[in-house]
Amino acid sequence: MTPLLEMTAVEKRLDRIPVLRNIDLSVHPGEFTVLIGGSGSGKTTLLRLVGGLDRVDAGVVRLRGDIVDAPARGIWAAPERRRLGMVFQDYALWPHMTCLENVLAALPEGTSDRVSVARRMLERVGLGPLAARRPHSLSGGQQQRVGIARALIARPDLVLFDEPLSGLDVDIRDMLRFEIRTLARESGAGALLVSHDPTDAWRLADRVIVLERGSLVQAAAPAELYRDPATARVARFVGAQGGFAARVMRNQGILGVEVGGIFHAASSKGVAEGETGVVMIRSAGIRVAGEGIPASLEYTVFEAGRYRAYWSCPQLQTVLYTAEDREPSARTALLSVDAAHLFVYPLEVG
Amino acid sequence: MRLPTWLRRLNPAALACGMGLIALFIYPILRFLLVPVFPSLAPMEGGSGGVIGDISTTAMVNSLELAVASATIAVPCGILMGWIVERRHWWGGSILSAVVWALFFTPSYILTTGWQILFSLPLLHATVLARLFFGVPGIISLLALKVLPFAYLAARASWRAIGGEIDDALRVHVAAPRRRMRILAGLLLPAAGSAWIVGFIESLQEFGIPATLGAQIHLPIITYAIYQRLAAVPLDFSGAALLSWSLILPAGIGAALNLYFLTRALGMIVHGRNRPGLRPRPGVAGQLAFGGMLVLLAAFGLGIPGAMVLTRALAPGSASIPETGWASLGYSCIYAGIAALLATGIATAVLTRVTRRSASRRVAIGMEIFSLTNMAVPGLVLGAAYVIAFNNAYFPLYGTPILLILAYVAAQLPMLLRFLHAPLGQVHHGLADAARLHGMPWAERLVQIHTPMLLTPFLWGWTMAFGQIFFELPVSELLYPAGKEPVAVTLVTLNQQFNYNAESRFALIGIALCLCIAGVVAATARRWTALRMASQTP
Repeated sequence: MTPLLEMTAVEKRLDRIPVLRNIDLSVHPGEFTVLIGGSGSGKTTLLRLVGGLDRVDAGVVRLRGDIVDAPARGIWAAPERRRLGMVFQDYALWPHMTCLENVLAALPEGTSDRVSVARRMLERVGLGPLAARRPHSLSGGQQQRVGIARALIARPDLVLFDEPLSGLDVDIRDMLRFEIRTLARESGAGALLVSHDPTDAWRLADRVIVLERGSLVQAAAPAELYRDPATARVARFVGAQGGFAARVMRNQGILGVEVGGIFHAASSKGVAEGETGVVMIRSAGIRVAGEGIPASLEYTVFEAGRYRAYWSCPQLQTVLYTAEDREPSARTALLSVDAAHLFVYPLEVG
Repeated sequence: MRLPTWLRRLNPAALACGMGLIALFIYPILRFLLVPVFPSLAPMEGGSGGVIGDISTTAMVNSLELAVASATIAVPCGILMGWIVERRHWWGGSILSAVVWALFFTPSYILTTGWQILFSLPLLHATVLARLFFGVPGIISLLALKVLPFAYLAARASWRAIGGEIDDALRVHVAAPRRRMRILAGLLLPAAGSAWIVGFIESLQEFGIPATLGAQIHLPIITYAIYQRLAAVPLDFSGAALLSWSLILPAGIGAALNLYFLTRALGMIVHGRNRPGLRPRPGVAGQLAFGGMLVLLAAFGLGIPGAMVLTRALAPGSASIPETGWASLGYSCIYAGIAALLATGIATAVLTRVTRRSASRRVAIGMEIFSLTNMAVPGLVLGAAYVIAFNNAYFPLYGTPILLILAYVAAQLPMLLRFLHAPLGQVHHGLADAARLHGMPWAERLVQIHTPMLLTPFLWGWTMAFGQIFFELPVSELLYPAGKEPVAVTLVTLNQQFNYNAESRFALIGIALCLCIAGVVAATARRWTALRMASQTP
């Protein structure tokens, strides 16, 4: 099947500083892809390149199999010719037009019964009664719904979302997340959503693409991302803790690290035997047990039906937390680490 | 005894602001404008009794036509320049901005003098160009140049308010070029409308060009007609007030319209989330076009008139500067120094309160309305109003430097409130709050926290006000104490005597003096800040 979007060896510099390096990625029809990364990782720039709002410096961008940006061949298609929908972080609604007019403006000319189509779309996002209002008289969540209606009205097969939920209240964010997923599925469009919030990846994505400092470090389904995080940052993103240094060693033929004086088998991600790496432990893999790392209780917080206990581990010079059904009564404990949840990554330079 | 609730709720700062507003603006302006109805409000009234003659009617029509023409020329240029600076990553953007600011600060009568000198040269004097310059087209061109900075600043603010993402949305979602243009035109309407109105008002109120080129070609213009009524004997306050109404009314309607446009544009800002878009670099053709425009603007606005003034100033055997001229440099320094200090101090005090997060939105909107409404009252009307309001047994200030300084303060305050709003808004008030919360005494807070934080915007405001007041013309003409005339009065007198050599030399000396004083003040402040930093470093 021809990918809806395909980027090959894409490079981009801004003011001579490399922002994206050697990016290869694809989005398939109907697939919801979430692109995550920290501030300055280049995720918004990547989205702008797909939209044609910026041009790549090197590499090729294909939409529906057709090349839309390839500087080496002198090809570039303007944004309006790419037949995409886009939802912006700051809504970007045209302030002098009503909600209906905003949606109508994005409807291709020649569409029959234009006003009814636009009204139906507004009703679909729950804004039918507000069609005649100007954007500034709406709440942030309502404005973003208009943005979504505008992006979907032309029935694009690929919709770009540039952090559409940031800056909204938590409850509205959750509601909109559901609506975005439902509307995208109903319309059959593929989606590329940029976010820095892990929740977006868990609740929206068929596939997650992770950018770090302009490079694509992992592209996988959410379950795979959780099972096998490629870098320490991805591990932290999927909820791992730790981040302390340890030397990788072999014990009875098994590769692992010594944590708190006890050897633990670990998945090494490019750290050879004898080298020092960064240890990350998924939260599910840490529990209070009869043997393990000596720890003293710092404090406990109640969180969504369980207790989160923070333990100071002097041997590791770090703080780890465990999730408990009951509030721990002891001030000290031994923490055991499940090898299946333990990863070692190369030390980061710089 | 319990005080009434309204009295207990009264904020002393708000009370002081209100009283200042009444004393400096409402009382004098109202009193002056009501003279045609109540002639007894004016001392020594002996003029037309409020009758407007043919010349004045012509002056009104001329002024309106000139303002419409110059604003219409300046606005598209201002919008284009604002677009270049806000939307394109071009090396010349900051130079363009600097040229516009230099043009903003150049007194209009010095700009006019430069061009008068050029077209008085034997080579050009008999040409078509000279005939055009010494006529309506010349005045329109000069007015357009003078209002261009206002149009540019208004348009630039609107481009910034529109935000980069709105452009992007247009490019992604609207395929038909015709529809894209229509939406863009709708987006730009508030920007263009606001810029046009600001240009129109500023042009209508311009006094320096009518007082020099306008007077030379005997073209009746409303601001100069008002001045003539107040400079003639017997004084004609009624006629001047009636003419002022005709100046204030269109300007007031314009200010109200501008407020409407800003409110409409506010829709873009109200949702409050505008990320600046990425600014692409222009291609070769774009760079050439932008560069050409920059060169033309710099040449017509500064280079050619500046070179002419410089040539005349340095010409051997130039006419000498009159004795009173040298003294006027000293007077202007004192007047401008004190008035700028007072005006900047008041503006800073008001803005530090208004820009606090806790200040109500109503206060901020009130400030906006005040500065806009005041824009409709030109310095000339303010000066005339002060002649009447402070020339009686209760306020016997007319003819004293105090009244001149007060009028300078009142004339500069709206501009300072507008220009210092952004820099003072960026000062993080939490820092002062933190010092207070941690028990720092108020005197120490003032020296250690407030002064270093506010010093830079304060100095910027002071320098700007000092330069403006130093060369200020209409208020100076009407209110200067006998025998202590400011620089602007001397310069225009020399211009009206066609003594361009002395005027040029004197203008250059004035500019050099201004720059020296601004430089010394800035260097002293920087040195003081550095010393303070050093004394606090262990």
